[in-house]
Amino acid sequence: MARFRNKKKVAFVKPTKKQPQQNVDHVTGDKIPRSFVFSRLKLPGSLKQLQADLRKMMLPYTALNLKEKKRNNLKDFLNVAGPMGVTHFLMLSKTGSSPYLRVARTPQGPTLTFKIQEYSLAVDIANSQLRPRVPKDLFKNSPLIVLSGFGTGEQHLKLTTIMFQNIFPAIDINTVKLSSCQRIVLLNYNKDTKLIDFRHYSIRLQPVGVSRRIRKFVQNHQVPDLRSLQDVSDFVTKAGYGSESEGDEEAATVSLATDFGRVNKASTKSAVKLQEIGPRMTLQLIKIEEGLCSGTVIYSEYGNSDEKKEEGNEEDDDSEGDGEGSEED
Amino acid sequence: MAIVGGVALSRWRRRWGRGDRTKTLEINPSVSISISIDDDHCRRKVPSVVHIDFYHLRAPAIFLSVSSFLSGAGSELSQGIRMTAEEVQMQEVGKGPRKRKIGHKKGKGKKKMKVFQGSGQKVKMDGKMKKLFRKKARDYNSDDSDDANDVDEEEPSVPMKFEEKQPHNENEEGDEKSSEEEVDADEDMGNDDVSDDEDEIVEHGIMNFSEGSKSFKKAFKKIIKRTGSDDVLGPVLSAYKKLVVKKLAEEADERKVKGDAKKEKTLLGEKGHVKPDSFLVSHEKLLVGVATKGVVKLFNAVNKAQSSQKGLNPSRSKDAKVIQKRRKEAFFSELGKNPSGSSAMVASGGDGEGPAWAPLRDNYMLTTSKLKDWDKAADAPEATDDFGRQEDSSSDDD
Repeated sequence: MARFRNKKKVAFVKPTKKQPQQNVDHVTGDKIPRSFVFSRLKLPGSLKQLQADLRKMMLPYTALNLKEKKRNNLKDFLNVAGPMGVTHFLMLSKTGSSPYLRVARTPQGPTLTFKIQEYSLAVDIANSQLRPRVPKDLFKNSPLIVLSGFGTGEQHLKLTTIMFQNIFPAIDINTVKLSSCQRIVLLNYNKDTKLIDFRHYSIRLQPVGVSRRIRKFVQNHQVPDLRSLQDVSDFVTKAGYGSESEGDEEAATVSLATDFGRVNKASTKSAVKLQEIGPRMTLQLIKIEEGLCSGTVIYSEYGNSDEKKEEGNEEDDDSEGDGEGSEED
Repeated sequence: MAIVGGVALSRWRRRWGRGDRTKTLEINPSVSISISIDDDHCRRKVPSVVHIDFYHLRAPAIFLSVSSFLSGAGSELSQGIRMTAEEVQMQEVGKGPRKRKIGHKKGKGKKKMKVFQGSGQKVKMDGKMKKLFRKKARDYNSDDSDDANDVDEEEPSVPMKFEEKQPHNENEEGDEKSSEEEVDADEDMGNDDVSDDEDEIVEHGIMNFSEGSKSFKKAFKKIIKRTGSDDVLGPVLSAYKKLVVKKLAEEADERKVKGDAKKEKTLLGEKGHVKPDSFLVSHEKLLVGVATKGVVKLFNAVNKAQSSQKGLNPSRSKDAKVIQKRRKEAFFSELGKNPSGSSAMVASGGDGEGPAWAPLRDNYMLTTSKLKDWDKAADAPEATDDFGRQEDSSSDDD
């Protein structure tokens, strides 16, 4: 009898639909990386804004309104990170010479320390654009990440690649919905200058092979201006001005597997357009530590790493801010 | 201070303390007049006697009582004063005891003259007193010795005292003409008290002004005539002007230093912050190109992977198996083995007729192909889509 009941139950339960767990993607079953973006010392206003931008960029798997206090040290964040499933820390700090970004895996490390050579806020970028574009569901999904130029075979670059690949949820190309790919984070390593360009773009798809007039008509849902036309058919047949970037489109054209928005239907050709949304950073990798802001220095931009090793062993969580400040001089 | 007959006075300063009812008028740096009402009289509400003290360089203190000064006929000055005083009396007869506030005070000087107390009743000018007055005068002169040089001396350095009772009940000094300031302080009543003083008006060594003193008149006129520079800061504290300028400069300096520090701090905080150009730099273009390439690559891969599983519901176990199989095939095709080659066929399904862009097709916005042919026979077997869906519905029924 008990067996019978069991069978009946099985018939009702859909086996593949699991309860979505907190740290696990309910489609792919992968572990979702979560992040904290916070600052170690008091930041000036523009860096605070950069912190806010970074948090927004890390959405949705980040603490957008993380409140930090002066007395909070790394240990506090680490204690919270465990139960909340936070896997990555992005720490901003500021010394006299320049701001720093540290990217660390919790709880064991490693920690990458980047010097921020230059940065622009999302606001600055929006100001520089004629039509800044922020669709309302832009930050509902995590961004794609594109790493380019890291394949030089050096160990520290390899580690950087792995670190940044794991900071966002992995994409399973078999199950991913294209409409969830709204943003992209680009990390471009320049071999000559040893700088990493950090960019954040929004992805926009535009149907190809249609005149601009019709495209606008379909997109905007607005009554077009037909004053200059003799007949309604002119609106469709008359070729408008071609897109000025028509030449680039050949390379940037994709045929979609699934629908992307309202106008980009599945199995149609669409041009990929990227628009920057910021923040923008130019990073220089200066140090890799084995632990979380502590431990052996695996790689250091300045000097030999053997000296640093001894220093690094003595460093602990609270004093690393000072240790780092002295280092880049 | 109307007493001085409507002559424009540069400055005058009053201090009404509780104990000493004193008003001090500063005519110029070296001369001031202070008027005091006797404290005792105040208490008894019979302040009939008013003393006027002239502080001059060499005439340290001259005590006068207003009424007596007024009664000194013969001098035009006192005439004028009397007139004013009479006017005031006329106006104020019959009014109860009151204190009018002084409307305007400009004085910034800090000299406070200690007025001889109790002079209302009986002042004996003994040696001690004289000494005191001399000392006062010396102190006063030492304050602004540079100004003092040009003041010529006319008065004997002997303090003079003149006292008389007021014929009326009230003593008033007020100034309606010069409108700059008004003095008034006194109350009514006081006949009996004042009458006592009449006897001891004249002390030795003190001049009687009752019929006017030429020398005093001359001196007084001279003092009055002197015009100090009447600018904003006034002549009283000519050093003050410098002080103000100095202070302002100091403040400006301080502010500048502070501003510089702040600027530096913000500059330091802004270090590395770059405002991007509004045009696309070639480097940025390159980066956009790289990112676009990445996106295209991904989208194409997704397209390739997902086109194989079109129309299959991954949540169903039956389809899941098929999907697995197809994925495997797609994977092998990626590797170049291409065991069956079926995956490529599915991609180009319904693109044969109609425009390439979906909105231009007939079935645009119609989510399923079923809706397009709603008027046709529903049971017509269609593509794999419908097959799957039918299966779905049948399984749900169970």
